[in-house]
Amino acid sequence: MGAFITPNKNQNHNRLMVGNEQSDPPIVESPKMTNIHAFINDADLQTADQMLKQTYRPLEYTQYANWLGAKENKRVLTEFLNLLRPWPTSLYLTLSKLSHGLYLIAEATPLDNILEELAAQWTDEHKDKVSHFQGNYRVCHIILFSLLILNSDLHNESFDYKFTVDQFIENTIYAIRYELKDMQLDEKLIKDDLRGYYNQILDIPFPLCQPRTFKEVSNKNDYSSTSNDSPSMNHSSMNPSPNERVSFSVSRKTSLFSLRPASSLLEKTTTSQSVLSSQSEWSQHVNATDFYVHQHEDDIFGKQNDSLWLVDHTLNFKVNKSTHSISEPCDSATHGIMKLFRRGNNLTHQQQRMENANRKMHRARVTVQKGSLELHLTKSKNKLSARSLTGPNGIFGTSIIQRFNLFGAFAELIGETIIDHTGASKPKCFQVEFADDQHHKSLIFECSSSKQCETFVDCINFWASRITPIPDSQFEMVSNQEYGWSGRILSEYQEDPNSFKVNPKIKVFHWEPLYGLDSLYTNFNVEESGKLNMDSQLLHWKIFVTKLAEWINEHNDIKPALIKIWTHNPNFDLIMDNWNAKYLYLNRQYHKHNEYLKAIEKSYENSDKFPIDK
Amino acid sequence: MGNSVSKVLGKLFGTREMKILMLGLDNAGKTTILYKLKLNKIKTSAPTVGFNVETLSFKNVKFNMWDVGGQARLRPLWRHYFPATSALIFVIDSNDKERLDQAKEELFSIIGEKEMEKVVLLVLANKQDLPGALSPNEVSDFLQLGENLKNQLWSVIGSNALTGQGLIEGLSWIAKNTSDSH
Repeated sequence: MGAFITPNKNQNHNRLMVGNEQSDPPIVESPKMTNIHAFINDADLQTADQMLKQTYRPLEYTQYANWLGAKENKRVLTEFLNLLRPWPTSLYLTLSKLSHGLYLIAEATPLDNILEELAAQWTDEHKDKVSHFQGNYRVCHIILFSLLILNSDLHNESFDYKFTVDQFIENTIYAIRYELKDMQLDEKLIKDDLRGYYNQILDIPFPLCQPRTFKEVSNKNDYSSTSNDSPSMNHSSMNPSPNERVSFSVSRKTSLFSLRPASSLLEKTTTSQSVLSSQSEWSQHVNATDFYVHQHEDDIFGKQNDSLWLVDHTLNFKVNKSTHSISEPCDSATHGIMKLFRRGNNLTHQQQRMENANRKMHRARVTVQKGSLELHLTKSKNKLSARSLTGPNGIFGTSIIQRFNLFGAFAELIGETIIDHTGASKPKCFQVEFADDQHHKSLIFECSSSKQCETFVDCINFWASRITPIPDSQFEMVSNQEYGWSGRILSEYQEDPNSFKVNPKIKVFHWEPLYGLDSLYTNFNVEESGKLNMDSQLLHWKIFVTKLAEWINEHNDIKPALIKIWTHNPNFDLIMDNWNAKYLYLNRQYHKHNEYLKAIEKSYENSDKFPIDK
Repeated sequence: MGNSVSKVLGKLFGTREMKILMLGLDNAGKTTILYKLKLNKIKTSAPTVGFNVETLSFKNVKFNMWDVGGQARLRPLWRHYFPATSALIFVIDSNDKERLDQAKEELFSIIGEKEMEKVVLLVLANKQDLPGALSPNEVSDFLQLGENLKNQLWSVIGSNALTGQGLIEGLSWIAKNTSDSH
């Protein structure tokens, strides 16, 4: 590696201090073109110095390592490490010194780049003293990286398979041999070093860089003033004194959702509070209005009852246990309503249907608006009392509101039909299924008329289509799992249908759908990804529904070939079951998302009928 | 998302303990995925100097996700952890066509290790939201997984780490295709 210039620290700090004095700003001469590189280096050095003092404001000090490790910031990295020079002969102490000056929890790639630069500097300083490295910085680089792994391994609880000293030495030597196949290194000396480092790290992990107090920052010359290999520099002198130390906090992304109760689908507010108040006791639960971009139409139609935006009536309802779920639910319900939903977890589907049919209806005001379905339950008028719904601590007054987020929900007409005034036979009930959470559940509602049923269904699906992301990942996945219709089998069959035979060793897998993005009630769209826009949702549902139709057609088209290919094969039944399962799943998806599409299209038709001045 | 993910893990993995290695070139989206998956994690242990190893725990299910990047020189150092790995998630920036070759080389250098011969491979074709992103099918073709991996299960799923698209599907696929024996 090239020569490294250790800056004259006093000069550097003087220059930088002048630039930092607020009261007496320096007169800075414009750089001459002949000296432009010196100017750039000054900027790099200044950034490096600020990072060492933790005063580089564009970033949190915990992010400095990730930034310095980026290739485009290599010059700043070099300056940063220069400021920490001289490096101790011991690689353990070298890394200790670095981790004291730089918050060294980062991604592997930037860590790699930092340690490579450090290895180059260290080797440049010590190539004469540490002859068994033969002046090759790559040996140093591998050992430094290995030491960092070891530190994580021994002291991070998430590493389950702890290194023994022999494993650590063997692993590191293997990597050195792998990299330096042509070099004859004195492995014994390296092993002795590694053994010593192992014991040191086992006893005392690398120090984590602490946030600097003002006093520390002002004492700027301390960073590189420790003498080489002095045991005293190791920890006692490098850590701030107890009086100077401020409490450590990890700057990591966090979320309100991390604190929400396990039974997350329901939200409760008292009737005395704002129905959609985010300040309620359960406010950590996501508000559905956070999922979508507010439109002008929301203001206009959001107040019109029996529109796509709002339906508000008193209905009969009952809780239903879903009989078709991707997987079995678990049983960690914690409050009353979850226990209600949980009943019958171990029942067969047939038993479940019987139990559902025998459940009694309850009466409640039902409001669908702003991405939520709200049940207004009056304690005194319902056998399904507030106590049974909320548990002993959940009663807020004489009535409660339960709110269901319509993320991934789907409403459809069901049940017995009634003859309406036109003579047409239409259902009087509808069912709403909610996205999978801890409990697979649905609600059944009984309306006073079929028209009312349809209005509720349209409104629920309209809101679901606005707040649910497009779940297309699993439909476009590619895999080498064989369900009976892989491209390879089908193409080989097409080439010569008469003589084609399936490889008897082929392993056929059972097909079943994967959990999709829409099957979970999550905060996916609330944070970084932004809210969903109605126009883009309309476009994406159109594309997705069109694709689903194509996939269904493609799936239908392969069936004759499958029958010919797999007849007389022991896997025939499994292949047909796979085909049927996927067919049913695709159809279900098509049905649901086509209703989403129709609901959102209907909203545009309504907008056209009632033009809005935007 | 973390809370929901924990619930799903409980459903999918039962009482299994999984060790999952996550790899990929820098800027592929590994860290974003990790953070997306672990939002609800309450970190009780003190932060340790070194590498990102994130653990998602739910009941008896333990998901260890490691970021094991770095250049080829350092790759042998991670060998120690390969034998206990159940699945490898390899994250690709589908929009970074210039580095696809490099990503491919990285992937096969790891998956070719003897200790990795039984792991299931999930390739997340990340950044699907970008207009020039290759589709999962195109990524699969480029990587030539069909030609190169004869005895291992693999899957390519399009993802967007920012929205979470594809992540649940990917974990779900791993859950369905790993067993206690891994």
